[in-house]
Amino acid sequence: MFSSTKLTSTKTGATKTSTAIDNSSSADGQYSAAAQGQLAKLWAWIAAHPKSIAAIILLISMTLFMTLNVNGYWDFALPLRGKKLLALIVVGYAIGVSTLLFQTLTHNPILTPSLLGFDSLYVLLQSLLVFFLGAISFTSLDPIAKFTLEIVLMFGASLLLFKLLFSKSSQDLTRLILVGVIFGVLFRSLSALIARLINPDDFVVVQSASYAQFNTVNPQLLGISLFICVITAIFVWRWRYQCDVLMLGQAQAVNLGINYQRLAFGLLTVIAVLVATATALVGPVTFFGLLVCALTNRIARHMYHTERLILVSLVAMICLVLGQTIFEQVLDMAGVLSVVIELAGGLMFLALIFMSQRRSL
Amino acid sequence: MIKLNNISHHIGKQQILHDITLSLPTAQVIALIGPNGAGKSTLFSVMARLQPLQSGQVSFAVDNEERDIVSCQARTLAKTVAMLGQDNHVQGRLRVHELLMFGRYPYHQGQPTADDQQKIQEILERFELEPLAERFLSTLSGGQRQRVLIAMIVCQDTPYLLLDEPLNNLDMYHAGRLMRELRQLSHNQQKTVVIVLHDINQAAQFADTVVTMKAGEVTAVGRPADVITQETMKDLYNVDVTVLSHQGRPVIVDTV
Amino acid sequence: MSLFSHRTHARLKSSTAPSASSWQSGTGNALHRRTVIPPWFINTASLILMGLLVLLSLSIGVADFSWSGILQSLLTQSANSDSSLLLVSRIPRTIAIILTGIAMAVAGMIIQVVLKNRFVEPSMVGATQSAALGLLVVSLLFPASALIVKMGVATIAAVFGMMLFMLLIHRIPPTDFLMIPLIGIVFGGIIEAVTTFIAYQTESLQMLSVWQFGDFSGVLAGRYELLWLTGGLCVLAYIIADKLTIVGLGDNIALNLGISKRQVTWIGVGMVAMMSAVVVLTVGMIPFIGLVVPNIVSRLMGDKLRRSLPAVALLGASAVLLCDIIGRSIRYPFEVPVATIFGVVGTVLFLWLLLRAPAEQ
Repeated sequence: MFSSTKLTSTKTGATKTSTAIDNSSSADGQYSAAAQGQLAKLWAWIAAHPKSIAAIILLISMTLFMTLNVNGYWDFALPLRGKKLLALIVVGYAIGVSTLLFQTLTHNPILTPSLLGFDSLYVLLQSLLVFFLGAISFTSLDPIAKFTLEIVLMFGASLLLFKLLFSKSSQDLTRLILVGVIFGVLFRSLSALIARLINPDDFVVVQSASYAQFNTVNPQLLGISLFICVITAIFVWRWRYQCDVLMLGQAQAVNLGINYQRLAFGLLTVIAVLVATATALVGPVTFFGLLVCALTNRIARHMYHTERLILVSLVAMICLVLGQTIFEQVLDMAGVLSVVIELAGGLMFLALIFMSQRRSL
Repeated sequence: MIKLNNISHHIGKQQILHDITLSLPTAQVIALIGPNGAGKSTLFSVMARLQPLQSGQVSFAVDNEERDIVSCQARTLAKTVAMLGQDNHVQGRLRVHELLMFGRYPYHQGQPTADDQQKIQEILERFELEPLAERFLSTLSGGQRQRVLIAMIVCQDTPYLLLDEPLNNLDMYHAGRLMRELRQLSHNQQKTVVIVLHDINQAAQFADTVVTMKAGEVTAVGRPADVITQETMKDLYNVDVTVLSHQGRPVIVDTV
Repeated sequence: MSLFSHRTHARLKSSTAPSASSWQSGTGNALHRRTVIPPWFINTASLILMGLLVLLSLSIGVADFSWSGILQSLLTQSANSDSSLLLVSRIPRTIAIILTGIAMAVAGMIIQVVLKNRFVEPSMVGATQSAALGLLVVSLLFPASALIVKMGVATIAAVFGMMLFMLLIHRIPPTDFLMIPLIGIVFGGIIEAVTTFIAYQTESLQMLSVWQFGDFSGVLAGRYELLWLTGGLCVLAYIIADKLTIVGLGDNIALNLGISKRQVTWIGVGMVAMMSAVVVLTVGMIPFIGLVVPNIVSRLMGDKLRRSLPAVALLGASAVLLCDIIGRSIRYPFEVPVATIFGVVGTVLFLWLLLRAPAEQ
């Protein structure tokens, strides 16, 4: 039947390649042929089950993170590491999902909220709050109330930013990215300036605003972040099919009965909230979202959001948890993870740009 | 019947459409022609609800019910009118049959049924797209892509279809096949097809009704033989043409 | 760590600008620009402006200073606290500012001509970041080396960085000219990330920040003299200005007129590298000047290098003077580094230019 051939098409494709390899290597001798055949089958199976594989890798990473180099200090290590792990998981989900949704909304695989300055916007809002409320009243603010205020402001500001960037039909993508990058730098510079005005001789203040660091986490923020993640997950999961339709473009989405304005508004809210959450927890990370989305698009079997949303979260979490484990426990270079991620992400960005160039040529 | 009442539209300070009132009959192929800048695409966008309706009303009649594009629910409208514009960029790697399945979205909302599969298969056969069914869209030629997109909106199974210059990338064979297919849809399945065309001869040969537009206004509505004459062509395009007749339909020749 | 950390600042300025070919047609279009102000007027105005700013710059500072004390010192032919302050701190600082402004602005102009792109400047082609990397490496490996040696290494590093960048953009079609600054920013960010990584590992972040963060507060007599080299380079640029302009007009034209494009390009690249290296070594990176100033001048005066070079130099000096004065007064008695001020002013200027520019397409 037509339906069954469609459902199994990917699997038959996979087994076809493995049998082809089997046939071609038969001349090399029975033993190596069988081994190669097995390897190919294994590889094909891995390619066909990205979510399960990713989940397994994540579980292994999490176990390693919690148990490596504890040296018996379980009472001390477990709660501390547990909190850090939770933070990394939250940030991974937040950045992965927000970037993926942003790419769906903007219909482009190179754009990310960070690239367009959304996370530096958040840092700026924070600095502005400190500046206007004054240092004393600021520190006495309940962190949760402060965080909620920041999220509300962030949502309003990102709506404006989004409208500004996408109001004219931005056929020129490069110009859009450029303008967004400039906005990002403007926000960052303003934050730095305000930080200097507040605290003129503090090198630390200046530094901490621009480094993302995965080492220390505010436990109170962790609670509300988790709550936010769960709520957004519910909404996003409900919208997953509508997001698929968005891949066809705004015109076709309208044609197929999607209430585009409402969906775009909802997605943007989720994106703004998630970006704010991630930035509040670890600071601005420019290229991380781009990196995980590009990886996800490579390993996903198809473009439907049902699979990609889960996969992007898993991939992001793996990057952070496994990466932090390796750098902190194995290589003893804590705090370097963000640099490495930015480096890898920057290279990936250049690669994506070059590939899109070649395609358009 | 498609009812357009007092449609006016401006972009910035420029008035594009001037108070258009029009009633289009059902179960016909209706061609919309006119010179560049006449406002055809704008009218198309307004009808297809791609642009917000600035003034006036647009409604599609289905089973004695008038479905107004402003007040009717999005999902119902998706089952009423299907449209294909000129800019169609699909993000991501999609196969042909997957794209066609999207055409059924108003019905399955993301979870396709066997019934949907059936419809897709029929359309694949009808449009001679079976050999391409498993191919990725990015590997298709411009003409093949266009056929797939049109097949997609036919999958949407709506009583009204709106198409904006769909024949642009198609060679003579496929353009002719498509127009014949659209005529079949309108005559056998009582669908109303409104199609913006650039080539007057295609409009003359295949349409039942021709609507001419100039400078944001509708200048004529009627059968091809009545609307496409030497005077009207001169008025519309400022070109002196010779009008021949073939099997009761006009053929425009621009002689040197 | 964000790739676009505020420490390296806003680099970008873009305008709804014409295609790359208009750079070549710029000379022709100069007559058709709306406001063609005669060069002598601009230069005189800039000179007067600069004079005022110099006076202002000399007057502001934390230490007690009075002009009457200077007068007294001159009359009595002896040194007093005011005159020594002037000689040791104020005048060197002001001179350093002027030289830096001239250097960065002219370097920006040169690289724009060489790359035939209006929106590049030394920090967007990897020059300043590579120089910083070179400085870091040589300071780690040979900490006792002379200033001249460090400068030499930095220059060579900058040349390599720019060569790599030019290799990268070699394939970009000239029509997509906004791609070049975009790639430049990311490229610069990647180098910066690598540099920061090394600094982090070797615990030399503080040292690195001196180079990555333009600041005039440490300028005293005996610490800035290297900057005079840039003055010499600017004179050289003026001498070969016509050749540079011809190279900027296009390969065929240059060939026709017997100018060796390769030779001139190499000279141009070398000059920019050396200027960047010297500035980074002496005061640190101040991105943006090289982008904003030449563009403003070209709006007023067209693109002929020989005619606009003095204006670019004067305006560059004035701009940095102004920002330094702001930096010193905004949070008196503390100093906000010039780089931070320019980060904000530069991006705002860009936005202003962007909004004001009519579509010159």
